[in-house]
Amino acid sequence: MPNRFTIKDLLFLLIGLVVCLLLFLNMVKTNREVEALAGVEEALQDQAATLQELIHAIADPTDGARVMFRDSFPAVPTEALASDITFSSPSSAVNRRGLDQQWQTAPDSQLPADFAPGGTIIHIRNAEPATLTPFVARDSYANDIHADVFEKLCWRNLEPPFHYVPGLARSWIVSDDGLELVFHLFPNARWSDGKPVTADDVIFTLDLVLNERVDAPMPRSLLADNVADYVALDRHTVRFRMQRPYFDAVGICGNLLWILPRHIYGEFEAETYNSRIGDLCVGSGPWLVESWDRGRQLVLKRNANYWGPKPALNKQVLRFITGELAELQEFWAGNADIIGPTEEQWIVYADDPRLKERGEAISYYTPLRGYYFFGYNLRLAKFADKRVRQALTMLLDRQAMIDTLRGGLGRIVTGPFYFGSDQYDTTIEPWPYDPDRARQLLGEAGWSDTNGDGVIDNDLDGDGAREPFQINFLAARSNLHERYQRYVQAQFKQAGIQVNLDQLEWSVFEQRLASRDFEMIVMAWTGNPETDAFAMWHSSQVTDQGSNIVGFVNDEADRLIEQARQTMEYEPRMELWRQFHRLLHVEQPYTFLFTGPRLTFIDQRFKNVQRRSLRLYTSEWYVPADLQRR
Amino acid sequence: MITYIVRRILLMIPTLLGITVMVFLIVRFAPGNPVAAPRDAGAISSESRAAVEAYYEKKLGLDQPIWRQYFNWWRSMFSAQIDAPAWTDEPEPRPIYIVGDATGASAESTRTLLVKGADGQWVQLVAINTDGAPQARIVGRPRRAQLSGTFIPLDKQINEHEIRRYRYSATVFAVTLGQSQTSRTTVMHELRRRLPITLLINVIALALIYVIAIPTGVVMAVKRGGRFDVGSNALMLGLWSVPIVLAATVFVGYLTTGGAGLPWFPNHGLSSIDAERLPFFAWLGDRAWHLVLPVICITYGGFAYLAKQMRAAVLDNLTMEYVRTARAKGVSGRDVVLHHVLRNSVLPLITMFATLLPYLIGGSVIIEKIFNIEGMGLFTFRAVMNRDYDVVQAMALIAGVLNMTGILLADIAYAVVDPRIAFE
Repeated sequence: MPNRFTIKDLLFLLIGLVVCLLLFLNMVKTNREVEALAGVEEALQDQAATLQELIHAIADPTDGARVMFRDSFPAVPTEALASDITFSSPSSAVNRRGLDQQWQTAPDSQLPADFAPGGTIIHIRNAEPATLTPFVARDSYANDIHADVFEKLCWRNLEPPFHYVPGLARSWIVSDDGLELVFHLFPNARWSDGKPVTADDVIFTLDLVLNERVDAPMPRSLLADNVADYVALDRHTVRFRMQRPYFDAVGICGNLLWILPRHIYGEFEAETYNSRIGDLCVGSGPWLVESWDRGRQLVLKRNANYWGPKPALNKQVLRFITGELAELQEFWAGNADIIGPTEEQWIVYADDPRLKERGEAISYYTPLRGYYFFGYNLRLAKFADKRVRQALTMLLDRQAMIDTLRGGLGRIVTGPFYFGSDQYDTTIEPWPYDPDRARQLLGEAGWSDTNGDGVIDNDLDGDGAREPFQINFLAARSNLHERYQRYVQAQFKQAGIQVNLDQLEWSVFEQRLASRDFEMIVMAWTGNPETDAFAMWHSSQVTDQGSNIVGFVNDEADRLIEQARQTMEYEPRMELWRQFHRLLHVEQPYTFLFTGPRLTFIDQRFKNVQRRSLRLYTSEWYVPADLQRR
Repeated sequence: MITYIVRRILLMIPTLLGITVMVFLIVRFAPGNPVAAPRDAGAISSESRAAVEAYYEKKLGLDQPIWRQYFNWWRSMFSAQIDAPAWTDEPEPRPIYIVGDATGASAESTRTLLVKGADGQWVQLVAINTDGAPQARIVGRPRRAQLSGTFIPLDKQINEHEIRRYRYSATVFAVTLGQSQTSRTTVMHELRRRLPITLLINVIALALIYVIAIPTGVVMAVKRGGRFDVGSNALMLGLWSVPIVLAATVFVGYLTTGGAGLPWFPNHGLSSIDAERLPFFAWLGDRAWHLVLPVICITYGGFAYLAKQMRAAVLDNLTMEYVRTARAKGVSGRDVVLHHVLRNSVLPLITMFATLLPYLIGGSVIIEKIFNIEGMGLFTFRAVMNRDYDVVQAMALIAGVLNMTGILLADIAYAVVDPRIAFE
């Protein structure tokens, strides 16, 4: 048998395979060695840079204190807060010098003894941004990174009432009629490559967003609806003209867009900008994107050339871990410094001695978090009567929902505004949990169980036949929503209302919202420091996929919204919003439920972790030198 | 044989067309659409929802007639624009932006560079020659190109002032398999990144399953009714009945760092935080260490089915007359099983292998989610959830192609293994 496959053949084959494998492994090894060398080189460069900085600091002692610390955020001069249109006269304009002084701790002696620049913080994110291209990215993960890398003309102060404070613009003036805004840029503002930030870059950014072919429909529609034109008056001055007075004109013009460098982003055509430069992220902020290893981590590095006060930390590593369990375990293992635990994890560990040993648990209510609600489709006859809607709210013990379904994490809200803002009327008492009164109200509205089948009925269409009170309750699929749904089902049943539950995937749920094909929903809106009620509540937003999903139409509400939107002075506008809040409370187009806190576990190495109301601000933290990790 | 194979491959073409139509229709008529607003911690923003949805509906061509959408899909699968840095033949393009002076590129040695001349013209530099003159080429072979400016011929040397003169921007033929709306790259690009990960895990797992299950099945059949047969049968069925979700969660909870039990294994991913800095063998060990739990999770449930198939096939053959004849001739029991029975028992295994091909690249959503591995499973799953049409369609199409290929390969393998089977 000449063709027989013998042991010898097998041996040859095996040896051949092993040789191939070894060759391959050797190649990989060499490759990795080269890469490791590159890493060493990079580390050396880093050290050189650090040395340079040190030398610089020694040579110029004042520079050492140019670090954000303590009350990093400038206390806004009180006269400027007379209205929301801050810094309205040149005399009250804050110049960069003044800001610097507030930002620094002034003399070195006031820095705590353990203060030291440098150190790394490791964040965990549950998902990776799809792209880093500004305005094209729609997820909050990209937004967080942009907030470190880019700057806006002005920022929201991190503390209530969240007035605007200087960003790239050192001051701005709003004309008395609210139609003209002039922003003055800091002349010393620089892109991370050292080129100056000019009015031309602002104009470029606006042009880019308004380009119909760029995937930025959200900011574009806000700009197009409000801004009439904009022009650069000189190298550091930009003037906007509004189409009509709008209370948040400063926000639209100054706080909506990240300002982009024309000399970088201006090189791309719209299609390229949309989808092919996802890892390009160059701005003027205190941080730089150093590297992005897709699927694993993104590294932000302190911008050594930052034109303003620099953060103390040297590096932020954002690791992408989808599993909640793994996220927590990485925190325990010391491989993550700051994580956002789930509500369940918080309940279990917030008071755990193990956590106390490791760091601390911070929870805070930010206006950005928004609120949960049950919405009723007011186009349906059964929800048309406000007594019915009040009754439905009173059938639900919202505090008990927080305590039992959410482990105590939440605060009841009575309206669509942030409870810590002046928009929110704190005198409003939430509707009580009162099933008896609810039943009475339902009775007054004509609902009663006439046929004894346990379900109340009413003749809504006037044809003589009584229809039972049945509600189809729709939710996007999630455990939490399902808990809410079951609770509602049980509570409503006691009053003789039959609830059918339905859960859909988010994209299907969204489609049903858009086609207004629902009876009752549970949902959450995100919030703002000052919420414009127009999109959610104005009667013009009922059609065309507007956000007035439930179809709330009320002349008085329309009037209040319209008036508030064009009232530029702060206090009178707040009064209008509060009036609107009271109106909504009585109308109950939603059952307003509660707002949840943002939850954070943070490693104890970090000092000066201020409890900010808007968001935690990494740039003001530091790590004592002996606790810093490489 | 050859004619048979050719005929089969030709027959695959109409089947494939049918698959694309079916896949397309199913995806398009599924409820939900890709324009839904993104959520932040479960909440969505009320601002400009209408404008955003209208924009993306138009952009994705969802307002066009359905047949046109179908052809748009074909076009997007096989075309790419090449005015862009992200589209190169490098697996991970890392463009470096040099503004102004193109000679600055020479310092950057061999990486793929995107260099811009003084008048805003972009050109891709692939290598820098020793004499300092950058070499430029356009990646891909432009066909129906809409050009602005002139093309630089492949591998033609150009120098600095020439770079300023040239600009390219064209739609070229390229297998991109469509655009992912959620990750904003081409499907092909994502595949290149994720396929190796999934293949690595699945090939190891499958090899393990076969290596363990086949001998077990044979021994079970030979010693049927014995203690080994009953014992391993019970054990495998027991393993088979443990849900992967449970096992994986228990593993992560109790056997990993930061967990409640023994910190033996890493708790997520395929490498440690600073794996790049490790020397080669430490890196290899680190990777292996990360693979242990996911591979166990994929493997443990797979023994039962395969071992039982093998056992049944061997048993069938053991009762055949040729076996009795062989035994009667005095062939030893061992030789009978290894040389005669085994060869005749692998037919069902081949059938099974055919169905495994699509599974190999499919990836497991559960494993990838729990162990935080960015492979094919999560990618497809997210695409389905976000109604990322191009991705879902591409994945279904790939699964279809692989299925057909698998069946074809199996048929050929039959003919090779069993001389009685011939296709003419």
